[in-house]
Amino acid sequence: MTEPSIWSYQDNFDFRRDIDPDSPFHYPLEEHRGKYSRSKMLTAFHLDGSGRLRPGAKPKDAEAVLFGGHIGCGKSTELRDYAQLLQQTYTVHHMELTKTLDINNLRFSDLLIALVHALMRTFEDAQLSLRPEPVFLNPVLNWFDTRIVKQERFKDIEGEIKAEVKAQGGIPLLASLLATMTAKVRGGASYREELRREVRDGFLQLLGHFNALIAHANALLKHQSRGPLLFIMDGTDKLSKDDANAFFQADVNQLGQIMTNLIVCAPISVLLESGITAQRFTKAQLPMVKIFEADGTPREQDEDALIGLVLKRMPLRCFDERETVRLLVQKSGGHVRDLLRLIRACFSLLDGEQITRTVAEQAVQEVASEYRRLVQQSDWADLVAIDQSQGEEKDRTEARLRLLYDLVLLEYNNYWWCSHPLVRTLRPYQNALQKARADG
Amino acid sequence: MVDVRGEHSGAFLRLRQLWTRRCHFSLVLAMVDNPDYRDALMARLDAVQPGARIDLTPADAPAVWLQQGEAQCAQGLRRLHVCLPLDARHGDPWWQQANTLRERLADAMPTLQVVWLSQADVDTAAHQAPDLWNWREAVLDFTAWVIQPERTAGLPDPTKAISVGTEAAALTERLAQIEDFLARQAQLPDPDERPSAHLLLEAARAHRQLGQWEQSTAAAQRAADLFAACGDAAHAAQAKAEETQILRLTGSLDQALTVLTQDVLPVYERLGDVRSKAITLGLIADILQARGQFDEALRIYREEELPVYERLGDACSLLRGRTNMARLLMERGTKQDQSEAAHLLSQAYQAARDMQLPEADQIAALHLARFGRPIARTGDAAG
Repeated sequence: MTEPSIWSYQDNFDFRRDIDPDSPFHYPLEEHRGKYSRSKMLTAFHLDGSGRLRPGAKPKDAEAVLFGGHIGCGKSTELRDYAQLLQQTYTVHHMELTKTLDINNLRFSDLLIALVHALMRTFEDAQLSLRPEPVFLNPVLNWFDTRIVKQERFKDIEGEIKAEVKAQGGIPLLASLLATMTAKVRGGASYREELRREVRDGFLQLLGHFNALIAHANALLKHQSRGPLLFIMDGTDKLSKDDANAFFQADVNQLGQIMTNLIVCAPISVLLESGITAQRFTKAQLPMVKIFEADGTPREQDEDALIGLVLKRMPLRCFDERETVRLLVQKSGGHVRDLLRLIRACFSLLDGEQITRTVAEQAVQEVASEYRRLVQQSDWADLVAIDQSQGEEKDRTEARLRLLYDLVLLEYNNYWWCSHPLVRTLRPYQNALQKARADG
Repeated sequence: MVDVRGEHSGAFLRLRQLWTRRCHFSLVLAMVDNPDYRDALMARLDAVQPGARIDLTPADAPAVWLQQGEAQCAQGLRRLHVCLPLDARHGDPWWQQANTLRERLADAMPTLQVVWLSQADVDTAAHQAPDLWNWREAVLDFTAWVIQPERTAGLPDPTKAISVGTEAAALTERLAQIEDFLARQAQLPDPDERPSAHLLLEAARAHRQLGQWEQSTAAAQRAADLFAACGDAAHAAQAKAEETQILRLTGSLDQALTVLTQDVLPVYERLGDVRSKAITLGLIADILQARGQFDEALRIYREEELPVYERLGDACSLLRGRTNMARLLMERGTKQDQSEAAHLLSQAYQAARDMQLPEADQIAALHLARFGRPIARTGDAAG
């Protein structure tokens, strides 16, 4: 039997693909991120390493964690792993916001709608058969009825709800209303901003009722021997830097007033910036896969882990030798998405049936050039200074936060920075390095 | 007829009850800062039971109050509005004289007297007319229309005036639903305490709105105890803060201050909840203002409350805090204060307009009432 062509593996490197814990491409990297451990997150929810409640501990009902790291470093995959661990003790809603909301134009009101919608889905879950008391549900229903349904300017929302759902009222009506509102916001309806304003301005009237409904839902779940609600919000790390600053400095505090368990994904710059961002939130960070030490010494076993990740998607025979894969791993800096990007670049440069070292080196040049535009002239000397400090230099200037956000600068556990290995291949970096050596 | 603002509905219901039920000497102090609104509230009361009205000018001594009141009562009226000037504060001697006249005021007017006066006059009366002050039936606040978000959380939208009658019926119905749930829970061996605590906190607010202050206090205390038993310190503190609303309304300012500083503020400090802490400090500043401690109240606004909203980017709380601070400055009333107040109102107005909040109209009205000219909009000068 002939072996499959290398081209049959190309789609395996699509980094938009979701990797669930039981996916054939899933490769555990927890042990390879330096001193990173899942225990910080799990302990926040009173769980041990296997996701079981610690002896004598009760499940939390209002814990909030801001989970951040570099874009593409594996947060979404890690969150799916967490979801599997957490659902042994909690009633988990894993909300992948990129699939339901317009992540390029996200506001707090959108998240609030998504949260209420997720809660309604809990009530609709036939396996749970929860029956919320009207004394808790009606105020939330009334709020949406007054604020949205009865408003003339939003009349087409009501028009899109089926008559039989309207007749049913209660949870089906609210669930349908929220789904329609989400679609309108995502679709950029003409009144999108008005709709958001209405939700935002009325939030404080809703807050108390919503918190009461969540507490009631948790009580009902407890009667069925189920754990309290826990919402994982993935996708909020994909906001643009300006939007992220606005969202994580103001909106997230409103989100924090909702008394439920929350894990919210955040870009690394938000976790690193000082100040009072998201004071209710515990911060947990997913670092890069640590493939070298701060002084540049390679960590072979961690490189091997990433080689293993690649080989889960494509057999070794598709490379001329294992060291070619290692080259790509080293140049990725331990950044999973960049490793996938490098291999995709190899495919675009490939003529034959194997990725050779020459192809890999060309791919490195090509991907590195994409970073060129992210670095300003004044940044090069600073990048060299950071690298030469071997992890000692980590003052948080605005420029450095920008470089971290753009992946030009990478952060490793236990908390040191160095420039991306691809950036180090660029000529301006080499020039700055030579100058630093001459001056030094 | 002008509607009673949502946040005043509880105080107004209580006033209406007193207005219809009292037939002997009773002194009610009603704080107000807008003469049109005062007249509208008086008209609402008169529609229920007619009352007489006397207006005292800044030049009138307390004896004029006595003379005019006697004259009205001689005609058989049982209810009296006494309107003190809102734009001029009576000095200490005026209230000291009123204090010595208290027996005669009571003897000559064996009736309900609603004294409509400024917050500044209430503060002076409390300190300079202690015996008269101790005879007060109630001190009702019809001034504070724009306050911290948490104070209105869970209540009907205060910006949309609702007829008291309609609102009262809805609140009463809601309270019955809550009571029904709590009664059923009480029969269970393992009741759901946290959801019940949330409902009790809501009930405390509803009772307050209905002017049912004892029930409000009892519900808030039960909510605080239940939240504490569940280990929910933040909500327990919120319930404690709700308790202080009634203490404040009943004039127990010292007690309210003690609860806020000893039972509420330390919780938020411990939890690192800077926003709730700032809101609590705003409540403390309000009480200090009511006690005439303007400098300390201003310091809190300036140094502790508003900077937090600025750092959090909480534009809504910031504009409300600025408006409250402007009101305080206007009350203290130095020339420099007036200028700063106008500036703060202008900032708050602009922010409210930018966010299209209904507070914009209220801030504009406040500015017009105080300074006699419309508030400047950004770009107006260029025009």
